[in-house]
Amino acid sequence: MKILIAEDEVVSRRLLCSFLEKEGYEVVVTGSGQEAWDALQRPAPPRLALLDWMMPEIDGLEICRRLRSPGERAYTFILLLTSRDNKADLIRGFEAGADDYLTKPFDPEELKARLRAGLRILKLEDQLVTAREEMHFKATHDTLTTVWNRAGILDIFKRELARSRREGSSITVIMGDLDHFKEVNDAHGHLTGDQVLQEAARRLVASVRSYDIVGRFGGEEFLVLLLGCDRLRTGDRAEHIRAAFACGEFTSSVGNIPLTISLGALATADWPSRDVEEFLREVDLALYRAKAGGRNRTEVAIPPQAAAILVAPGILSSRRGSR
Amino acid sequence: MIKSSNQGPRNSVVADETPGEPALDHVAVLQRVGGDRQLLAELAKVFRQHCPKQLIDLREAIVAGDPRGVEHMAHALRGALSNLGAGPASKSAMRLEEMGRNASLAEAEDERVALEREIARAETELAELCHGAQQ
Repeated sequence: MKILIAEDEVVSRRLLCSFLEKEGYEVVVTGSGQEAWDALQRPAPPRLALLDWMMPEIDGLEICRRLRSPGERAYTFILLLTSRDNKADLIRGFEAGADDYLTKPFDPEELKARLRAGLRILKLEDQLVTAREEMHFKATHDTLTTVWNRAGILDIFKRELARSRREGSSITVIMGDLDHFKEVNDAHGHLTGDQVLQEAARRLVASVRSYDIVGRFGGEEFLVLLLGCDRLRTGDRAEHIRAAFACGEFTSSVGNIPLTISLGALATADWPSRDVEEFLREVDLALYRAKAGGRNRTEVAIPPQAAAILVAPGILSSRRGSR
Repeated sequence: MIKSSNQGPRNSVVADETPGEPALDHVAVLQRVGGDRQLLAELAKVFRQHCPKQLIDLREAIVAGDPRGVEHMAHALRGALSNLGAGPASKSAMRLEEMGRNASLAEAEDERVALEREIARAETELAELCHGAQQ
């Protein structure tokens, strides 16, 4: 466990350092408030801090206040070292954000006991953070396939859409629906259906870049967001995903099952003033056309202004994958 | 003359010369370093290296009539001295610190002289206590 010492007085600093090293701590030694504050800003900073109250420039109280100001940082257990032990000073220390204090010259056994209390608090905080992260994951991910769930991916979509408009980039939105999934369920049962859904999610994740987003939209429907994808490549990228998905049969516990997907796609940059709900409607219509056109196909939604200038009906033909 | 303990014949000589509280609480300081005389020798060395400069800064702050400077320098000296178990010197530094805090430096120079005397006593005892330990 890393521990920070901020003490401008050399003898105390050396003594504390020696004692804490013997106790097995990884000691980060600083000789001023500024040095201590800098050390606390680095990646993986110490979460236990022994701060001398009185230091030039930035004193221990000021570091307490800064550490306790709102922000995304792991909790730091602060033990103020002080030669002041009157009540008013101690209250000031606690109000600034200190967890505990120790009067100088420190008693080794007392310091050990107080640090043990600090470690207990940090352990509790770790447990809380882990629990919160697990809950957040469960709230935003699909339990069966572990990809984003509907709420999770829609949240990302809204955020990324705003960002892409600020940056002048486009997102390729792909809605996919497994072909003949109902037949799989009817023929082999829901457990096999679940295996197919898991395999479908795996294939989709494998076919996109690590920073693209794959989510289960509901039932056998998946939503894929290709972030920063050039709008002119929307059709090609979607078609690549469809082809990769249909690469072979899925070997389930009840035998081989053919696996294909129909896709509807659009580039958000082609629809400048639409919102997420409208995009979902448009991409769903394109998906419907892909299904109606024979499945295992990709259809790109064309914005009305572009459709109007495409005079030849043949231009709006769909893309068909090889089977 | 009652000394805290652990004193040898050499310590008695120092104590006899200056009646009152012993310059160094041997038990306390050895306890603080976990009985590690080598560490104590190292601390004494660190103190010897920094102390002269701190005393000069303290004197300059007194001459300049700078109470904050007096408070700060005296505070630093007090911290080191209390860790080294130098009770009388530490108390003298504390009085100077209070004078600085209260911006009342009339007796600061006298106290500084007393502090230097107490530090000298403590250093002598410290050197004897560390005698034999490698630095």
